[in-house]
Amino acid sequence: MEINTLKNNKFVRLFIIVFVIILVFIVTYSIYQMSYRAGKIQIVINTVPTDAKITLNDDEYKNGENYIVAGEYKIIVQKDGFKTIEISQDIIKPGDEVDIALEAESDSAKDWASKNPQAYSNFANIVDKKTNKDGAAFRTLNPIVNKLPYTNYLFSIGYKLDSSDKTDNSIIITINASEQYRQAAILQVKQWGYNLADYNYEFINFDNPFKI
Amino acid sequence: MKKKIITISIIIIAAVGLLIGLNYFLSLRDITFKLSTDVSEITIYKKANFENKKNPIKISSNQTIRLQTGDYIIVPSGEKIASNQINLTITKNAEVEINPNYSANYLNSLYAEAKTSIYQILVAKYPDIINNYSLQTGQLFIKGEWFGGLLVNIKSDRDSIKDCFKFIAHKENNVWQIVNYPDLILSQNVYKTVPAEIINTVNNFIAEN
Repeated sequence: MEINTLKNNKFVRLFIIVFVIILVFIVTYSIYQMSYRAGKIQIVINTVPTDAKITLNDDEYKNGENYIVAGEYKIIVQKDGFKTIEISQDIIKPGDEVDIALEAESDSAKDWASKNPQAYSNFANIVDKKTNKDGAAFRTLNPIVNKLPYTNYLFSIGYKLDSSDKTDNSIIITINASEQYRQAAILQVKQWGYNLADYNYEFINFDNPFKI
Repeated sequence: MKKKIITISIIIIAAVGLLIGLNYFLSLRDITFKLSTDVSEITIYKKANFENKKNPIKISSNQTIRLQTGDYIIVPSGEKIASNQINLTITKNAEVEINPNYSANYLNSLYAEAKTSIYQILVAKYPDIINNYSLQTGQLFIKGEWFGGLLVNIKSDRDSIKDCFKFIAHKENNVWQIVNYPDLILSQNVYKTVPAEIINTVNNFIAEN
């Protein structure tokens, strides 16, 4: 009976020690993570092959989730046998993803690529999903793009991204029409039910005489 | 026994009365009305009483009154102003500025003089091209300090529809100025300081043949 109690006490003590060690580890790890992530943003880097060397301004990062300070980066993704991809002056902001698939160059790399088609198709799926998601948000912000491009015998209406908006969510409506039909093109936008003032416009082959 | 019932009834009625009174007292808020100089009087109605015009409160100068929380409709009156109703929801003590736009009639009476001044500004600003255009349509807005206009090309070789340029002018310190420059369409993004209602109206100006 006494032996059993002693055994039990020993077990409880061991349990408490293990529990305290785990707790200390969790707290220390959390503090480390919090201090490491402070002031940084989460970005996801998807590469094929997944073990490619990824450097952002000479600091090495891994495939998957990473934490970096938002700003301008030179991104290099490389792996022996594959064509190195280098993107300079890329502005990384919250919510960004970096998706890079390396093209196989050497025979061994081509052999790897042919034996791992799944790696490339998974990558393509990730990019497709992201593009669709971004596309839906873009169309919600700029519903007129659902009608564009529009062309008839008299004029054409299209759009392009507004480079002054770094979020890539603003557009400029482009109207290509002779003087005779410019008002008709404007009327077309109104007839679709859009508020003219909501967009910026660029009239092709038109110089505004009042813009001095 | 009867006495007891009467006493209890009185107590209940008094308590209910007290609660109603307390509820009314606690729902009162201090509302300070500030009337612009062109407002001669405002009439305040509880929203529920507006249709029947019941229990109006009239105010003819800046003053603070106690009103119960709830929805109200204010009708301003004055020689120059539009008497469009103003909705007001009272939840806390507040200061309410009553500064309605001028009425369409009053704005129309100011239009001719404004149009002449603005055309002179256009002539001074665009001396080489302004003779090719006619200031065909125009409108004053708000308190007459905003003007939207439509310039139509009258010298184009084409017989059919020609370019129409919309523009907005703003009067500051009694001096008219053209905002930005006349354009085929006015975008809110470019005319950030101009109220949206003005831009939308001007964008809908159509040239007369």
